[in-house]
Amino acid sequence: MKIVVCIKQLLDPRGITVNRKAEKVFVIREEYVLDPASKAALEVAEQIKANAAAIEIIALSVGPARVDEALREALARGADRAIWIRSDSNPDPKVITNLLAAAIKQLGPIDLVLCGDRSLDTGSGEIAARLAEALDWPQILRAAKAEVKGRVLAAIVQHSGFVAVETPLPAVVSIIAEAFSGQHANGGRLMDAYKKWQVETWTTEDLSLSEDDLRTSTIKKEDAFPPARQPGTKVRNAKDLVVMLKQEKIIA
Amino acid sequence: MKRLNFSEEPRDIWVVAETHAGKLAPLTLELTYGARTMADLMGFYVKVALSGSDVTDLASQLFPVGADRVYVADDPRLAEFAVEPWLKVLSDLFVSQPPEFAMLGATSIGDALAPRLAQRFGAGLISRCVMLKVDDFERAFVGRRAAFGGEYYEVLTTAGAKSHFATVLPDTFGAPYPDASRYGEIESIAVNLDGVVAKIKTIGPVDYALPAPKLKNARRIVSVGRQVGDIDAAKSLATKLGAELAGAREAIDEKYIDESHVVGVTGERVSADLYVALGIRGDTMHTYGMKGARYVVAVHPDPDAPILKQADAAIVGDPAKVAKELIELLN
Repeated sequence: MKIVVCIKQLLDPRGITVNRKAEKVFVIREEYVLDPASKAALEVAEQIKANAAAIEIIALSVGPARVDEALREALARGADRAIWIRSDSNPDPKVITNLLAAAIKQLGPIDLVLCGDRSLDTGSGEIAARLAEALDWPQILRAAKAEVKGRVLAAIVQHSGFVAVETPLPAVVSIIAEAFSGQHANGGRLMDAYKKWQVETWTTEDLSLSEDDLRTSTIKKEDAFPPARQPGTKVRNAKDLVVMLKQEKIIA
Repeated sequence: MKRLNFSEEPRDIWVVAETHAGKLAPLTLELTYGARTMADLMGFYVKVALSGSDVTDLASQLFPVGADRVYVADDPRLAEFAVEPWLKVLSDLFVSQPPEFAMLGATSIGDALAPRLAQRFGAGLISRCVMLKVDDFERAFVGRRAAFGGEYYEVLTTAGAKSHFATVLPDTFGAPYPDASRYGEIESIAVNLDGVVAKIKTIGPVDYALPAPKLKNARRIVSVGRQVGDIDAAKSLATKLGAELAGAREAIDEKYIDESHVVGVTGERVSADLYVALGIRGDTMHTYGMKGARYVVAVHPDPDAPILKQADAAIVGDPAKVAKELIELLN
């Protein structure tokens, strides 16, 4: 059985600050990290692999050369193969989907595709449903966990709780970032990911896509900023603060 | 990819309706009203696609909020939402009536359908908009979407695409102003679901706990940053208040907290009743996580620390000293 995990790399939020007054996002340190929802998806793939025999996990990522790092982290987090789909332009979700879907088709019979649900930065949460369309497979969105027992069983977020759903394979499942346990990548595997293992490189030419498939349909124009927050009350000392907290009925 | 065949200028804004328990969803009424406002500027018609079972009677409620025409797919097989049948109905409708503009709610239904329709028809799509308008020069949607949970917005455009889709969050257009004198047409559409099966089976509610949401559920939080001065004072205050100790990411470097107690973009988003920030400067990556708190107290020695402007109660001073005084006063 083969599982594909589509992963996203994004600008490390720790390296940026947003200045609403200046209406600017300042990039202090330009570093890229693996999106938490992608980590969650990798974790689910690893759990599925732990409970079954002979499963190959293939990580895919679309982007410029820097995604190499994200793919090596995926290898450290349990992927058996990592493929970089090279794209130096600025693809939108439609183009990313076409690239991923073409790669998935090229990889041969795939049973399950996992991806992160909404990414931390500007997550539109479109990729899973778009992939399901491109592959003509069923989709399960916003899952917190997924198991494979001849079919996919998943717990999805609905209202304030979880609902169990199932669908036949092959299927696309998106995993929410909140499902990520916070575990670090295995240190030994991380060393191997850099020293022993390879990230394969595929280009758009390898994927036989039309010019139309690679044309973006949604483009980013600019950033916009909400007004700066209204300041609260200035308090002189702890005594006044206690009075205020009591007034607000926050402490008894 | 299917090709939409625009035989003539379509001049429509479509809304895909949702119903809940036999009623139109409030968001559907809001979107129809928003579509009306845009349509009036552009000289367009507002068309609504209404699918479900026993929904024909609801159609007329869409006229006062702005619909010119409601296409009703009324079929018992559409009683419960399922991706495949709904997609088939909408897709058939949009092939016969190619939409130049279409809006769906940013709901579980819209999130499931809009990307598929956009991918199918090669349309531009702006998902989860908090602001949406038609750019009359480009004849495209321009929408705002929250970045990093609302710290700022990214503005997207579907300019250049042939059809333009968006999913829209509630309160984007505001409450509709119904106009009782407005009227429109209802057209029932043939539902062809040959060979279409819903592939997702719902089994039922399930008990599942997300990993370690300890901070998320904490009612009171004492949160520390690099300028806390004396971590023990903060810890005692947390004990005194019955609060969890948390911190900004920088507090890990000082070994005040561990990875699982970070509040912010790269940690937890909290919803405590009381959030006491001691010696945290308050960059956006931290304040993102504390925004859900009901009452924020901030103590920082630097009068220019951004957190002081975002707190409900702000004290310029030594956090450790204030913490100790607070413990005294609460005794």
